Amino acid sequence: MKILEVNHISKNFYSTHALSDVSFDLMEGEVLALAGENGAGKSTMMNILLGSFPPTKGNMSLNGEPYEPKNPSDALGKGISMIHQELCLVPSMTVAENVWIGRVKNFMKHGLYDYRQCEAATQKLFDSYGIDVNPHETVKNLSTAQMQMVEIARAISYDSRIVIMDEPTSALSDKEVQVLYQIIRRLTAENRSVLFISHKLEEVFELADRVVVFRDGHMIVQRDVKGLTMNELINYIAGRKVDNIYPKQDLEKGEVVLSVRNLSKTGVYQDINFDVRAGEIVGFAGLVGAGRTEIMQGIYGIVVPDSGEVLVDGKAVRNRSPREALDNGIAMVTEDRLRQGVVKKMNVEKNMTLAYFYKVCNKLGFISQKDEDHDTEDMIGRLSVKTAGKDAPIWSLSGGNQQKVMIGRALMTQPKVLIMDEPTRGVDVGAKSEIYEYCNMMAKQGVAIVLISSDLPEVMGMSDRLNVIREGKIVARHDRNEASAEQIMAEMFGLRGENHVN
Amino acid sequence: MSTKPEKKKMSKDQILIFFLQNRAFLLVLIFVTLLTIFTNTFFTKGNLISLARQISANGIIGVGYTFLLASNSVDLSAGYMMCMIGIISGLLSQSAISFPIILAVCCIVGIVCSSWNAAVENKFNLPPFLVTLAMQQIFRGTLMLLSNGSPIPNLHKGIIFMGQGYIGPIPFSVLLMLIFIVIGHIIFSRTQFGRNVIAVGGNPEAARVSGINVEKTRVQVAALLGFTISIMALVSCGRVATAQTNLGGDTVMDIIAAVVIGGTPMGGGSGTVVGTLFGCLVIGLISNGLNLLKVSSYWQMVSKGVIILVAVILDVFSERIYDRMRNKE
Repeated sequence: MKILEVNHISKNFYSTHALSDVSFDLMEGEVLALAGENGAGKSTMMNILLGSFPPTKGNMSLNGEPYEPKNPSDALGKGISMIHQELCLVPSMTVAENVWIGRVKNFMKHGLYDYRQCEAATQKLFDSYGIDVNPHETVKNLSTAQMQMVEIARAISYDSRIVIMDEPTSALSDKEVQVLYQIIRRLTAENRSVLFISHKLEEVFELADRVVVFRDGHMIVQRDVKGLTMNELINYIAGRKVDNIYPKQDLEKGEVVLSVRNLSKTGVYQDINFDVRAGEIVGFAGLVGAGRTEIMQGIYGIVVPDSGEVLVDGKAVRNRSPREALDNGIAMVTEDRLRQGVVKKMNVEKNMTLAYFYKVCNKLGFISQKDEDHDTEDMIGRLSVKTAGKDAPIWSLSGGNQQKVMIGRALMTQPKVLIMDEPTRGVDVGAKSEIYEYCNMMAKQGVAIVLISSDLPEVMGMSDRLNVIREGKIVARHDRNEASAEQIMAEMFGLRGENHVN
Repeated sequence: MSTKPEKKKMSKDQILIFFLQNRAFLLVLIFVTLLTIFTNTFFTKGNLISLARQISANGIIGVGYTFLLASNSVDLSAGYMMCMIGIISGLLSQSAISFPIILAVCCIVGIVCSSWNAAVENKFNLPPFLVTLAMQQIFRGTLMLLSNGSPIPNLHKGIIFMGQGYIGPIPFSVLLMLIFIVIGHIIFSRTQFGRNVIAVGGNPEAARVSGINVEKTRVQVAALLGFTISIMALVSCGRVATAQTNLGGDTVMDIIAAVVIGGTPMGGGSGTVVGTLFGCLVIGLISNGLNLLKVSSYWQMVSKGVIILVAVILDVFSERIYDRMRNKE
């Protein structure tokens, strides 16, 4: 019997289509896996299911009745609970109190909270599911894996009909993964349903009855796992997209501009080596958390690496801060536009000139307003930023145009090396292709470009050479058009016995 | 159908924003009008000059404090630091030390103490609120140790000139305040330093990634604040010709109130030095007006508190309206 039906759900954020016309269903007692790349729309779908925000279009039904959750606690009341990817526990409280958080009134004795009852109930729950954590322990003393188990216990303690698990195994060791598998089997035996999001494709095969694949906000397929092969699944996830939306131009390559030698940071990335020539675009593919961003932050001086060398034009440089990196000719468009990019109280002009305005200051530190205005207007024109003017507040721009301002900020420093970390995230299709055009424009001017993207077709389509990163290491290198999306995807997920290259 | 009322609301938001941005100026207009109508002593030369002199000390430190709040920091120790510097100037006045040296020593003490606050905040990544709360107590104790708990009369005549002197018809302290406001305004709006301050206050991560030295900027802001605190200490001691030991408590409240009413938000990221001048005028007018109306000074405290509360609420309120406008985009 169908317990949950999702019908033609669409979700727009400003001009970005996060989800378009997604439909799938969930049966009672079933494990349904959600697969897709980062940013394919899985998390947006889960947030809609939990009522964190409403869909723009479409409807859902639960047990045959219309389902319109107002917020996560409303969803919980209607029988949907979730295990979050990031831990949502209160570190200073005990395991038992965390499991029963918000429901302490169930454990009252003479009108006072009785922790013994609470811990006894927790022990009973843990015993029945085979979880090995002491209910009396304070959460901050637990290992990450144990915290994840507490989180899982909390989600199942609600007796909810549907349990959503967002990458539940990412923090678990093998032993706990086995416990989790048992828990999932137990849940389905109780006729409860599990929605399972995972990047580990083996888990999909091991656990799920059916799988739904998301790509670019679209539902690609929903089918039984039985009879599905790994290659088919990867095909669904990576997809085959029209190549000509990436207007990559073949350009004459110049001298090596950026060289990175044996760059390492303990526990984050190891022995990173690569070169970028003038006019060349070198792409980095890998899953979120593989260390791509961290490597670039190391080169740019945001988080200083432990060892290794960065050379610009053959000269070793030390970038202990972004200021030094900029002085050495390296600019970076950071991944997180809200946190590390936009200053929301500043207007378009001040945002655009933030990394550069000191160059139009005289010796006393006075900003030459004329130069700043002139250069800003010039850059707004070159990048065709759609804005009411350079004095318009930055928040009045669409995401894509804010991103153009961020790129303009980097370009104004006239870098020799431009690092772009997810430059098209949260950007609509039109602005995306414009951003690709800027890449070409900069490459033509002899800038060495490093492009990081979770969008595999994008990074394949735009790069002259591609490095694949997994677990902090470069695990594969490809020239343009040398490898298929399937092969690269397999390398990103670590499915095939790839050889380490350095 | 639904677009029409929404459009109307949009413009209502814009009108509200206009009033909120110019709230200090409007409040000054209202107070001046009311006081002119209800008293016959307000609009006299003597009263206006005494009002200007009353606000001059706050106006000077207000410049430094505007930079501080714009950089999303706060300093609770400013009041007692000022008191301590006053006492130091009083002690130095007792021996035959020349005025420039007294001035230099006071400025150095102010700059060093205030920079120290910022350096500790940077080094241990502590919230300014906690650091300056502790430092406030240290300054308070130090000033009591230095003065043995009693005020110091017989200040150097240079200090007295700073508080009481006139240049032509204009009190020197008022002139000093206007100079600080003008220079502060230019630094804030036209220089690299001013831009760094609002970038650090608006989004420190973005500022850092864009090559701005966030920690250095914070220390520079604190040093500027320390300098204005020192000058303010001399002006306010000079005005009463005594180095007082008990001025510190109210000062910080008045100044935060003035800066926030003036239009610099508590969360940083923007600011206005000229607005701070009007904010100081609002605070000054409350005391002055209630004095003229012969209202008990206890009521003055209550009404100042109310105005501060209203200012902070308006501050949050205007953020909400901005958010509302943003979400409509």
